[in-house]
Amino acid sequence: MRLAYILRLYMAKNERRQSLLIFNIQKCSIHDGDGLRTLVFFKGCPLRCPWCSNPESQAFEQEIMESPVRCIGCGACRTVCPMNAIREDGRIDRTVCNRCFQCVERCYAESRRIAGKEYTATELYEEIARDRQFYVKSGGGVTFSGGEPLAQPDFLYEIAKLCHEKGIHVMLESCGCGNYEEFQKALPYIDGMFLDIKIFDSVAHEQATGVPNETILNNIQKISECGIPVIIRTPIVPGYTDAAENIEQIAGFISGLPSVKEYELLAYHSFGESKYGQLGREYALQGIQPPSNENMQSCVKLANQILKKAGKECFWTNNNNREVIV
Amino acid sequence: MISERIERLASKVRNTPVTLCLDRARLITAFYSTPSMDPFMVRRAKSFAYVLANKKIFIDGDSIIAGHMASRLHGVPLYPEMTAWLRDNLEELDTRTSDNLQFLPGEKEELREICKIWEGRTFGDLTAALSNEELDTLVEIGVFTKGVSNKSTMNHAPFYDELMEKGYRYYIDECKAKMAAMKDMTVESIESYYTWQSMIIVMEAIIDFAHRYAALAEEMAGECKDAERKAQLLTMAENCRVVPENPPQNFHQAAQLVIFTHLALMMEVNSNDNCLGRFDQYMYPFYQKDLADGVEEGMIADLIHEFKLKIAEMWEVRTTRESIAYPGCPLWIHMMIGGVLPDGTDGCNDLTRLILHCMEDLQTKEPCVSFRYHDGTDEATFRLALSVAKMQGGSHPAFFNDATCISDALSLGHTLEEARNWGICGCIEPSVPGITDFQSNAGYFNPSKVFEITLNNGKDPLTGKQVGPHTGDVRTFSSIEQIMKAYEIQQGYFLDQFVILFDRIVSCHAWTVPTITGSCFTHGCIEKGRILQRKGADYRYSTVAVTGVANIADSLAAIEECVFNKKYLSMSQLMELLETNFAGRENMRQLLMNKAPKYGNDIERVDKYAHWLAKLCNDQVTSHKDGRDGKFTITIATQSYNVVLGQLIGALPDGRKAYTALADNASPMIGMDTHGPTAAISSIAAIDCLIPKSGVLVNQRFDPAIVKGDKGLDIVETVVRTYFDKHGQHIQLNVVDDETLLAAQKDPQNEKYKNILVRVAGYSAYFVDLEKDIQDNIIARTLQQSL
Repeated sequence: MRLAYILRLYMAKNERRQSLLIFNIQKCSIHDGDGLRTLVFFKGCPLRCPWCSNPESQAFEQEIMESPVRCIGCGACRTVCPMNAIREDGRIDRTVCNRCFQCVERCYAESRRIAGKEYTATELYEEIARDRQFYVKSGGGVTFSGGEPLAQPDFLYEIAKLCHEKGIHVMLESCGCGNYEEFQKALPYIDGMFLDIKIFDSVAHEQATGVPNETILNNIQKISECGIPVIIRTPIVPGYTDAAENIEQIAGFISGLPSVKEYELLAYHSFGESKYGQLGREYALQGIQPPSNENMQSCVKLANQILKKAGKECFWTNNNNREVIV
Repeated sequence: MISERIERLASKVRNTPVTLCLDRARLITAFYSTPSMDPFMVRRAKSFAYVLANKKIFIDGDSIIAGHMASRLHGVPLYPEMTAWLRDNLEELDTRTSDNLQFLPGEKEELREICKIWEGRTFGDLTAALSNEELDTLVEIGVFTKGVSNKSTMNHAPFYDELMEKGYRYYIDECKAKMAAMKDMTVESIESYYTWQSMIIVMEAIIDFAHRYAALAEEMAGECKDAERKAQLLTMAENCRVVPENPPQNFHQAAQLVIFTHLALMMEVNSNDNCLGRFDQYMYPFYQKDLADGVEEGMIADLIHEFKLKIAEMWEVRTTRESIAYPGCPLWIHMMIGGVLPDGTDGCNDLTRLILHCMEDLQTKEPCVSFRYHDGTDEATFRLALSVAKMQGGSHPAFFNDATCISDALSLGHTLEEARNWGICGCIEPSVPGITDFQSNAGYFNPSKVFEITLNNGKDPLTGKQVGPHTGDVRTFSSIEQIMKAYEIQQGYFLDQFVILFDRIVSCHAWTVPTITGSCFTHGCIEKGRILQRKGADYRYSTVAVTGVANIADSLAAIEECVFNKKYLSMSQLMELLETNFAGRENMRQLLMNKAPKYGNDIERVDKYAHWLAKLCNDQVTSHKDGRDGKFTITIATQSYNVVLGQLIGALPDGRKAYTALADNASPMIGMDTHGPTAAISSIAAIDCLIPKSGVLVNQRFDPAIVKGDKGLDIVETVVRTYFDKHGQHIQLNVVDDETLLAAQKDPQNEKYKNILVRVAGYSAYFVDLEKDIQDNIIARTLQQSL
């Protein structure tokens, strides 16, 4: 498991290039920072959380996503596939597919799409800057998310610097997994961060996500010491992260972080499930129900019992409204 | 909080079925049956006076403001002398699905008889005779519509600011003084003489009409046992003796004056789009005075409610086609609130806010309440207006940008102070009340049809008729510029034809159907002794509505990308696809839709074509002057003509199938804007809303889950402010979710859904009143979500 992680980081490093794969640019977003924001999703993540709602964010390379409901049955994909990888049911046999993407190009109905589009920093900046006036009016800006932006530090540095210097407010959403020495040069250009602590116990963390969390916690400690305002987030995934002990441990850790004022709990949802199918993957969390409002509220309460002493606050967002239970 | 009286009134207005009232039809027919040698204008004035003197009047048991258009609540008067179409549409008026109107027993037969008397002699027949086969063909195949051929000038915007200070008597005296000062009469000057005479006849007739209500109210008071109601009736009587003859003394009388004047505009000739002007400004002194005199604000709120319900009760009979194009019978009676004052300071006041609070309590389909926004708008009032607009099921007020509308008015020749007093006449067209003769419906011009004809070298592919010039076989074209050039020639030709037709109609107005009431209260007319239709007003402009901008932008981008750049297919193959309506080639239709950029996603490569089209239309139209020496403007608006005209257009290169709806107003094509509200708004702004001088209509639907709470209000505020920073002219918010609309479609009788207002285009209509395909169209419009 650990080997796989190191290998992935290594691959990401080696593929470091002038351009970067972005799998989505989502404008007019309101849940990841103040005001109206553009969310930029970096493709590629060292973690493999089974609850991930953006499975296409994980691999560092382009992937084909299939959407059978859009298929008009024209059969063009079959005629162009050099590997004969299109199955009877029209889906791709991914054990055979050589990812030449010819079927995608010929799928005019967009039943197949490529997850991951290459951008240079300048191209990406221009796209971000298109909503500049909306940022100014609303106190918004850009939020880099992923995937894991810290895993691609050179590009992050470049784009964050560009945005920052042009007066665009920059937020980062990250699981904290990266090489501090490499990404610290980007920190002066980041105005605020959402950092995830999913599971506090490193062994359990590695079991669930494929990666231990010592580096993550170290990174969070260091970032916090830089003075960048940080909100710690934990997705509440039943059976994985919702144990009282886990919340208490994270809250305890947060209590000692200087630049963290808030702790946000996010309710797990299964909206991403269909995307696993589109990537030809299985969804491991099938059948797991989102936590109830009561569960969320009791987790928030639990965290606040610890955090309030340190002058910090835990909340969750219920129906567009911030809820703090003490 | 609304009073029980207002609740009862609102329920009556909402639940009384709209019925046809033959009163006016009978009276006008009787009047014209009596021979007379009066000049046409005087005769027209007398005909109106005759109607006002003899029409049946009534006072509703809950009303404290007098006056109705017809002889019963929600009755609709008929104009058999104007509308040639009435004889053709008569049989289906009570059976059609859109704007179904019922007859009283026996009256359908009577109306048939009346129509027979007028057959071949109506105003509509007169304008039809001035058209020709070529022009008629262009209307039939959908190149453009024929505006105002069965009605006179609409868009009256009386000088209410001044009327409040003077009352009608002042204008009558002015006319009299002019006539007295006249020395030598010539064949030219006699026109002025008869104009003043006609104005006096009409104004006296409206005063007498008010006095009839006064007498009726007194009579009813005499029989009334209820002390409170008796007092109300006596107040009403007193008010009707004071106004409109004299200046009003309080808010109640001022409201009564506006109602009488607006009723007169609506009853003299069939019309819509008459503007209430800056209601929160000219009524404000009365509001202040009443409060100082000890009147409670609740009483003024009651008057505002009743005033709005009286406007909401007004109705117009339209042709069956128009009833589909303008679903829900909008009359676009705009009430302007907010905005800068002539000196540039903010005009938001306590009355502005009271009107908005009234809207929170009771939404009505008319008047269209329109909020003027500017940088210095009082923040709290703006937030209040936004929060009213984003109420679930509500849709008023619409938002207009002072900066853009003032720029429009300035470029139409107004002074800065005049320009700052702009109001909306029509659905989104700025004009300056009291000094302007504006025509919002010169007609709809349909670029999608022109594009289709361009692709077929001047031939309409659906009828096979060669209607335009030969601009080349597009199969031989090798660049997008060649297509654009050919289009430019075709459009120039068709706009020339459009203007020829419109000029014939407006010339007819001048010699047949003067609007004398409107002329009395528009500066310039009394001074010159000329009615509006004879260039009475100093400022004159007409607007051409341009439809389906998104379809042209997307079609050009699709050809450029798929044919010339990527060479997925040739022009010949494209033409074959269009001719066969993509039959058996769905993959190629998907190609055109998905492999080329689409307007509505903030992509310059395609948005530039929307800009190009708007500029081309504007340049070509404004090179003409209209028949009354007025300027032409364009507005980017369709109402529901995107559905009606779409039925006449074959497949387009953007992937739109034949006969389906075009894009509505300035909106992206249905389902094609996939990048959220900020991108959609930015694309529309890329048209450059400063180019069309009569506006760019934007409907932005939001999911109620997203615009909830203060955070939701922040989003909406940001979108509106930013759009207006980008020179956007108009935006209306529509906060209804799909589920609600679908449920409403299935269960229209359910109280939950009955009163859901939707913004269709520049106005509101009750969703359940709309035709099913229009409902579907609204549901299909991209539901903008903020994630």
